[in-house]
Amino acid sequence: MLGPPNRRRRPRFTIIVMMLLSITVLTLDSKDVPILGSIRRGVMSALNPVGRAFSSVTSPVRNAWNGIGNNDDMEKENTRLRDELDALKNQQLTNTDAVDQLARLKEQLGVPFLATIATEKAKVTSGNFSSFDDDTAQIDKGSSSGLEVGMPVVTQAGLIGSIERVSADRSVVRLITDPSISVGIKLKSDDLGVGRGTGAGRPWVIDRGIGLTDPVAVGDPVITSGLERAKYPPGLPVGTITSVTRDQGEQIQILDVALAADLTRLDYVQVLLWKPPA
Amino acid sequence: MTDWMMVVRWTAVVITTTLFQVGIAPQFPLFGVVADVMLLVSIAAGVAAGPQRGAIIGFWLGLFYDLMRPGPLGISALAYTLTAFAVGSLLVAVLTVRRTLAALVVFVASMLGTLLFATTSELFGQNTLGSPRLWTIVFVVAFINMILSVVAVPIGRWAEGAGAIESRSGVLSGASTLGGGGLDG
Repeated sequence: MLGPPNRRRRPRFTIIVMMLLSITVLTLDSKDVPILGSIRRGVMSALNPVGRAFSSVTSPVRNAWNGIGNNDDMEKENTRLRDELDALKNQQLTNTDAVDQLARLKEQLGVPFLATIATEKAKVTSGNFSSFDDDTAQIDKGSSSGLEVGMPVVTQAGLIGSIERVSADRSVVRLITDPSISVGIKLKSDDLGVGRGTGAGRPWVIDRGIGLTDPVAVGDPVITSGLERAKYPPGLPVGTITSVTRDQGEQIQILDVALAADLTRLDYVQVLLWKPPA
Repeated sequence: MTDWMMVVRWTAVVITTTLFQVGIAPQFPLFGVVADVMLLVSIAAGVAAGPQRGAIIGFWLGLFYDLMRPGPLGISALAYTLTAFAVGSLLVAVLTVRRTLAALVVFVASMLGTLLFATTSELFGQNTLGSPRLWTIVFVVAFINMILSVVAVPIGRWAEGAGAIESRSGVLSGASTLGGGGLDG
């Protein structure tokens, strides 16, 4: 036997209201309503110490869980070795061509060397709060350290992404593996193109701007072009070409790129205190 | 009339769950997948409190989760609201939700809730359905939640208090017809 009609309608009324509320929040967020941004920054700031505290308290158990063992020295050694490996990769790319290209870019475009750009070192925090955030990373520095939305983030090996959101002492980095992020690139031959990610764990591709006649070879370095209105300064190593596919229909070459930086094992990163030109 | 003690208990559950999601869950990923306790408690709310309150709890948990993670605000709120409501609606006519049934419901609902989140995120420009880890995430989240349902469903029942059965039977003729111990967690 069913109850009074109003009792039957109540859950339906509630779900409609809740759905409308959710859609309203989504709409307001898509319009970048300032109050939502402030609330988000406030929540990030409030949760940062919570995450740090839990991370610290659970550190021994976490290490055991991760199969790394609870030996801090081993962890530090791993970090040091990874940094060295990244530096070597960077050096390899640099030796190939990047220094010449950077010098020429400076002459041609009047842009500074990367060495002249101030940086802020940051640690990638223990991890994301959910599993669908592979294309983002959280770092332990924020606006109090001078970080702003849009600033590029690199490791010693090369570009990894840019700052998407900032609170006082925490920031979210959108990695270049995200398909929505395009990066203007320059090849060894000085040809310009646009690359993008296809998701974490998938190839990074250059699928715009490289014509069929442009000279391209596997192993060639890829750096940021830094052309006018670019989101990244010129000369940042992106990676090396691993395969070339000729698309006769579009009359272009599609290049797969192995990223210089290992995005699956980020420990420390450097934020370039550089803003894209307005 | 509003049961303020119940509101206080649910508020405590939501806050504790949020802290757990921020502090504990990311420290112990399984196959690289972080447990989604926010979804788990949303489903537990649907099981223990029925579709109406489940939807409200799911909304708040989802909204808090959205505030913590990158991406558009409101996607988790929408997905968890619908998941909790669906679970509550499904179980509203079931007189006794035993532990095994609750675990099964949590497993299936976690899969569907995660897929719903991924689909909605994709519609809003996120790269979720295309993630090579999608099915790993779906199954691992469902598995972890199924295990944790042993704790989460009784917590939901505690938060709901004496109103647990009445809420679930909201569309039936009355709570008294269900008798005591309806949620045999």
